[in-house]
Amino acid sequence: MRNKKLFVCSVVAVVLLLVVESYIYLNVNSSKKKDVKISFVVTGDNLDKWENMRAGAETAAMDNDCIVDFVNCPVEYGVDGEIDTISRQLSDGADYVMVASSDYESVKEFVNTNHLSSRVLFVKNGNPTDYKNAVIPDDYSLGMDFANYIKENSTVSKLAMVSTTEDVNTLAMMQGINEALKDMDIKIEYRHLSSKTGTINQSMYNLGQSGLFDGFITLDFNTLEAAAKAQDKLKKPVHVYSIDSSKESVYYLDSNVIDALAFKDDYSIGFLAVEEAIGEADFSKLKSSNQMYYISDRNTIHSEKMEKVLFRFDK
Amino acid sequence: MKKIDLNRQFARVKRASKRRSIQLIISFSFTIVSILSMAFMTFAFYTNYINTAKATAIENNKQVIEQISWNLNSYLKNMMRISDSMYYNVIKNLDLTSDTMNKEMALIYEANKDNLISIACVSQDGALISAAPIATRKAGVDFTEQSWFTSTEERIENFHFSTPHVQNMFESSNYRYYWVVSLSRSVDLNYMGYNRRGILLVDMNYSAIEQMFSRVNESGTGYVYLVDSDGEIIYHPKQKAIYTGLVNENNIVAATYDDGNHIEKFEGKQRSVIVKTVGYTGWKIISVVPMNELAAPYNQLRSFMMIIITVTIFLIVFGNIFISKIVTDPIRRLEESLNYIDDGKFDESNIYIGGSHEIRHLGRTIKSLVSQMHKLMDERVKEQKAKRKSELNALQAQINPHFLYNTLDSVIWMIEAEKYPEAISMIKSLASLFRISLSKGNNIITIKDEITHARNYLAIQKVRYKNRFEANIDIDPEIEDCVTIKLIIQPLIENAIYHAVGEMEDDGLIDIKGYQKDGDIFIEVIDNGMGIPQDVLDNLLTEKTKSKGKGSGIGLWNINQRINLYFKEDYGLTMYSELDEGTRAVIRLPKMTMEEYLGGEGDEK
Repeated sequence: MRNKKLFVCSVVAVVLLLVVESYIYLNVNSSKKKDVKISFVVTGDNLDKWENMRAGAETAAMDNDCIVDFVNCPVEYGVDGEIDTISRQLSDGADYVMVASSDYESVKEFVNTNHLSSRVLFVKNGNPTDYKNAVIPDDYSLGMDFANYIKENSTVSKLAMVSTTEDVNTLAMMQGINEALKDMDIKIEYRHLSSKTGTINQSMYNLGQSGLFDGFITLDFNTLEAAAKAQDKLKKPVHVYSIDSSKESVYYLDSNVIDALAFKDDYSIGFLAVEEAIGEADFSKLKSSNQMYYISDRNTIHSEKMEKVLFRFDK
Repeated sequence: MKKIDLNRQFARVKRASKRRSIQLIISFSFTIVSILSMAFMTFAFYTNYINTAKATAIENNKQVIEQISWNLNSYLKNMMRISDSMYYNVIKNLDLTSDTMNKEMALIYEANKDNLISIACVSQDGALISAAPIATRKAGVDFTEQSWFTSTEERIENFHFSTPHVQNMFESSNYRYYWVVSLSRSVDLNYMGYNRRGILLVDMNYSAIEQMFSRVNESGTGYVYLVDSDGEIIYHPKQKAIYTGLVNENNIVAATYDDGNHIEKFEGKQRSVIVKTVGYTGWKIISVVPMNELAAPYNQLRSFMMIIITVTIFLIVFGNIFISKIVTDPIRRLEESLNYIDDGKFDESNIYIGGSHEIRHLGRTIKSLVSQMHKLMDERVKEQKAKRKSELNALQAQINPHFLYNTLDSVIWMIEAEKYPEAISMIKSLASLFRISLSKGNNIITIKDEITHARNYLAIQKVRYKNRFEANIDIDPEIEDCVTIKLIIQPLIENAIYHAVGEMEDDGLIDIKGYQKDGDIFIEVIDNGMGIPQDVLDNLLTEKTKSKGKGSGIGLWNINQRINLYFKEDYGLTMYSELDEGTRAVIRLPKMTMEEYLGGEGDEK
């Protein structure tokens, strides 16, 4: 009787084990690991501007089950458009949304209000100390380093610092530059310029022509473009030091239009943002070892390292 | 809900393991041996299979590398053909002053412009002689400082391939820069009949190489990259990340590897590295596949094998328990039978006989042994009982010398007082007393004889005690022919006289009753003496090794023991007493006649 019980128990146990293991086996083999979907929401009408960041993000996603998508939000839609885009990406199944916003403070408020800080990460634009998972270069340090470079490599004595925006990044850069040039012989004056094409070009020309300054520090793309155009017309060209990460800025440096360039490394920013999202690498170590910006001039632009950082692989 | 006491369960398991039953030993050892064998076989099979699979994957990768190498070779050969064509068909045949050189160069460029960025001929002092497509030389660029120029100047006999770089010779339009790999060679230029040395530069479009590799990297496991002979990266899918320090690569070490398959450990991960050198250039195509990815396609097989193994282990465990149980069950049951014997229950019918031939044989042998042992023990008990009976009977048969002296003294006194009839009566009673005491050596007599013996004793004692007590004997006539053990009433009367009525003045009374009740015979001896204290009473029937004088109670214990020895323990003597009231001794005997007793019923009762 007991033997019969034991036999029945063993048969039942083996059958149960087979059923459970078959279930696990079928499920494990049929279910593919879900891809992590990461959307980059960037401001601007042209995604080409973000090509470096896309390349970095795609490189980081290469070995991981990760899909990277770039969505641009035209400037005309403003911050509401950006917030709508972020919400849409989240509702469409994005696991993470990386935001390079033109209005950091408003988007930050939206993220905090909706408790989205674990899924919405700020990249490139914003305050690097607000969020642990943000991938934002330290603009204050960038400004200081750039100003120190100017001090050591230039003879300028009167600098006009120009910008068309006064966002958190520009303010941080300005603080850094002012801090570095404090108590120095170099006098620096800030001018906020209108971003209208005609107006800004004229303003830059006027500033150069006035003789009040022997150099410009342009803090954004608009002022860089205006300074480049003004250089052609000025009777006595001025020194131009630019902070920008566009391919045009590299061209201007290579063409001797500007003297030096502080270049935010969008490639590294994109790469680090994806690494942070998928959590594969030691993010904090990578982030701390990579300052995410470079300073280059005419002598170093074609150096082995700078060439690879500044010039894109155009196919 | 029943709470599981883990400590208790653990203690049980520990106890069981210490006991090490045959079933446990069989099932445990068989399970261990089976699992080890299975694990060994599975491991051998799996390792062999995985190694073969890895070797196949590596072989496939080698074929991919061969294909890329072939493509790259073709591409580079094509570039060298362009260079050769430009050199041998154009430069060598034309004077630098001729306009034809630009046209010929433009023609060659046009024919190969998909793979070319530019062709240029530069003099030894860095002057641009000819270029296609026609472009403005960039201001401030000194050709003699460029790496392709210096390396060609250093070794003029060979082709020189540079690492990828941005072409920095001509003005670019639309902010566009081209990444190129420069193929340079030293050439002899004809200038107005004189030979001058110059450098022919073919800038290959880096995109062609990049696309060649990226197509491979998009499919399959791992990745493929290209380094020059110094380990400088020419192509890598994460090239920029490597330059910015975000990713590391083992390119410098890999450049030292010979062609073939290598296993390296990089950043804590084992990787399979296949190296293939590209001819003339010294470049090395390196395929990297993490070892865990090589085995990745076999994860399904691994999980399938895990299922098979666990189910097989289950089957082995259950099978072993089941088989060992079948084998050991008869042994266990036989062991239980022996436990009965160990507890003193010598009943051979309890011995289990079953199971295999050997165990049945063992059971039968044990049964036979137990039977013999049982018989021997019965005989031994009988012997002991007989010995005991004779001892007790001998003790009981002793006549108190003091009683005999007193009786004879009383007879002498009667004769001296010329009371002859009374003397004669007393001597008769004494004679009868001895006759019944002897009873021809029989220990079992009728109640009638036992009562006669009691009467005689009373008669003697009444004379001795000068009739200070009365004695009444009332025996049911129906029991007179039933049997009793001899000399069990007289000691009770003797006790009643000595300890109760003997010391009284005139009103001492001894009642002797005999009757039947519930199929047994009861004989009571009742006195109206002082009674016996309870503590003494409780101790009266317990065994005493020797007499402690008058009133030690050895006689009463003897009576009880004898009855127990001759009959069952249901029978015997019981004492009742109350202080100042008297004492009652009750003998209980089985009811049987002498014929019945001699016929064997005594053994049953």
